[in-house]
Amino acid sequence: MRAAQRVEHLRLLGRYADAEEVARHALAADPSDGLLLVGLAAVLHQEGRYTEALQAADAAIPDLPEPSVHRQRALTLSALGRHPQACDASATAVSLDPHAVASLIVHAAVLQQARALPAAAEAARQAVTLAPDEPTAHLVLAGISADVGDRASARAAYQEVLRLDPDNAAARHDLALLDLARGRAGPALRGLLEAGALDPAALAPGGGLPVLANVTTVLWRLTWYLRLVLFVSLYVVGVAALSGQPEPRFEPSTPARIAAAVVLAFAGLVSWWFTRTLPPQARPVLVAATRSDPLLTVSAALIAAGFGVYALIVVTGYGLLFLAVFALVTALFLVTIAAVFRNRRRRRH
Amino acid sequence: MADDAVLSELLVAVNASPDVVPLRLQVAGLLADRGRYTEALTHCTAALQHDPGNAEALTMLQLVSAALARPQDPEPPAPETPAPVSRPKDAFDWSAAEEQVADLVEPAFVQDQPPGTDPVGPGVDEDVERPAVRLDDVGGMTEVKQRLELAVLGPMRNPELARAFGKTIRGGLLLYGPPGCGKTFLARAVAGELGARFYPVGLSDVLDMYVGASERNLKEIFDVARRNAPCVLFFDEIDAIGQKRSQLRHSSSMRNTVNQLLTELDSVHGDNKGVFVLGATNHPWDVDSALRRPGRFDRMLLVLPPDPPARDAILRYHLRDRPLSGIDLQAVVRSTADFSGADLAHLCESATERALAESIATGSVRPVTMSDLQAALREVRPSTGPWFATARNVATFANSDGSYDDLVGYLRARKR
Repeated sequence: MRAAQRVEHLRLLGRYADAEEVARHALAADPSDGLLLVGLAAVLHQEGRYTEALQAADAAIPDLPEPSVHRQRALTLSALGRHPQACDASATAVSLDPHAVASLIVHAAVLQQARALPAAAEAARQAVTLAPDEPTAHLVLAGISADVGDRASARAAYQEVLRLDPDNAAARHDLALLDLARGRAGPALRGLLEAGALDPAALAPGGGLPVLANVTTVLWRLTWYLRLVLFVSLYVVGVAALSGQPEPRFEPSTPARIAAAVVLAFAGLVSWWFTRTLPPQARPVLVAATRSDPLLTVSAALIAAGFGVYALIVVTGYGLLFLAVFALVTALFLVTIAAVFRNRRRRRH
Repeated sequence: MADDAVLSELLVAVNASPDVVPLRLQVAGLLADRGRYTEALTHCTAALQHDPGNAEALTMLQLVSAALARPQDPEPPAPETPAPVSRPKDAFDWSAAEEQVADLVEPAFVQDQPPGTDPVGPGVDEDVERPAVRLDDVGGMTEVKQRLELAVLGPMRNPELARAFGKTIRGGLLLYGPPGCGKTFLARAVAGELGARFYPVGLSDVLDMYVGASERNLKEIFDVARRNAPCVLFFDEIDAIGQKRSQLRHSSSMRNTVNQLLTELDSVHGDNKGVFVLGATNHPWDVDSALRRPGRFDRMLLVLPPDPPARDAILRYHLRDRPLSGIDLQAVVRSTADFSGADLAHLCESATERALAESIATGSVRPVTMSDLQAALREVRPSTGPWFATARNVATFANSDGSYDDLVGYLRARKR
């Protein structure tokens, strides 16, 4: 009992190696101790050693035929992709104690992984009814609601999680993804930054929160608007540069200067609109996200160069410089196509 | 002089008749009178071995033990008049002795607890040590040592000056950095510099499965540190003891442990004067934010992998007393950027094992050579990589208050 408690303590503190050592040392004296075996299984599961975790959980059943063992088995089987067996195990856990909230939460999560979404939603709702103050129940319900496309319910559930547990990085992250799906790039970016600040350790590879990758997605969305501005501006500045001239001449033109200034002001307005609510720590994150994706880096550089050319037109008045923007927009178009193909290839893999 | 002659005679007599208890007690008394308490104690012990219940021997033993426990003056004045060998029992100052041990000895009954105090477990003062290491013993790491001097040691050595500049000497220091980079050694060196006792506390010293036991352990730890002031109380892996309470929603006992740590740091029930609290962690981002507020662990110091001079010193230390030949230490130092102290130890161990294996195979001693170290370098990789992967995210996302400016600066300088 004492060793099992210690294993649980160490697991909660993230000291998996120490927890495993304590568990294995105690199991050497009593290899059939169910509490220790299920504790060891939980530790191994969190280390991603699912096969060993399943062996430990299976070995615990004879000594400890309780819901906790079946819950652990269900989670591990689900992680191994053995969804039918995982659903059976979680159903067994629920049948042993239908009012155990932990079992209902695990059952819902396992059913969600098995894509049995209606049953998963039902189990999650039961868990929420039994324990309305349990953030994990709301979090699972939110995830299932998002999967079935019920974004309103998902949003409400995520907000409830954050009300109960304001430091829940996963809920903040997933709520930001809902914003992104609705096309609200600014709030999505803000949410992702907050999620990253809440639990930066979870952003490491294998940590569970792909915040930087999602920030990159938001930046692609933002640069899309700026690409659009550049594309439309070609027509506006081009017309202004060529207006009143029988043939193109490389000389200062006031209409081109005014058109370029309008384009710059509009681009500035668009950028401000999407970034106006960002927290102070946004800059290093945006820089890191841009650098993490070479195509995005090139895109950002081309967009910056395009607006730089417009700034040059404002200063010099040489409207024909818009041809340089045309070349930059063509390059941007090619980069965008490359990014689309890359993303499709990634999805296939 | 006459007394010394008597003492010499008596010592000869004791040697001739070691079993005569009154004779031994007489000798012990004379020795005690001359301040030779250790020898007196030996004779008392010998007397009690022969006659365990001898009241006079017991009294003498208490007297001599108390004298030995008292701090010794540089030059104890010789007694002007010899005290009688046998003293009445009431000559021993029991009240003074009780005062001395008041906080060491537990009251026998709960009712005897002084009002306002909680019962605590048995004392663990034996864990408190007085380290001999100083910052000069830490190889390299000049910047860390300078920052320690500025942030901690200087103000603590000059409290009046610090106060004049409005600088508080309250609060603790949190050392953070990749594992195996010498945080514990530095903490020990800080205690050595301050001439203070050092009390290292690990996770196992605090955590206990029984409800309330972890909190009681923490209280006891602080009590011991206060008793031993000036003392550097060092919490290793403070992120485990003081983890973010939001991550401990399902463990009320561990949340309460964090609360207790906050209480003790704030010294609501005790006076932390003379107790300097140091913490070390590989994951400062997992430490509860309340622990980082002023008066607690309000200063943070980044302890990075050893710099070239430190690596040089560490390699020299780990290769000492081993047969060496043709080692280009500077080349090894250049090849071991980002290696922690533990990695360097592992490197030396691996190289030595290769030389040893060949020596065993050939039957003749073959010293450790540069090729052994180069082969070991191909096997041993720096273990600090995963830490820096997480640290990079922390520097990117969680430096809004500038806590990790050091880390950001380092990562920028190293272009990590």
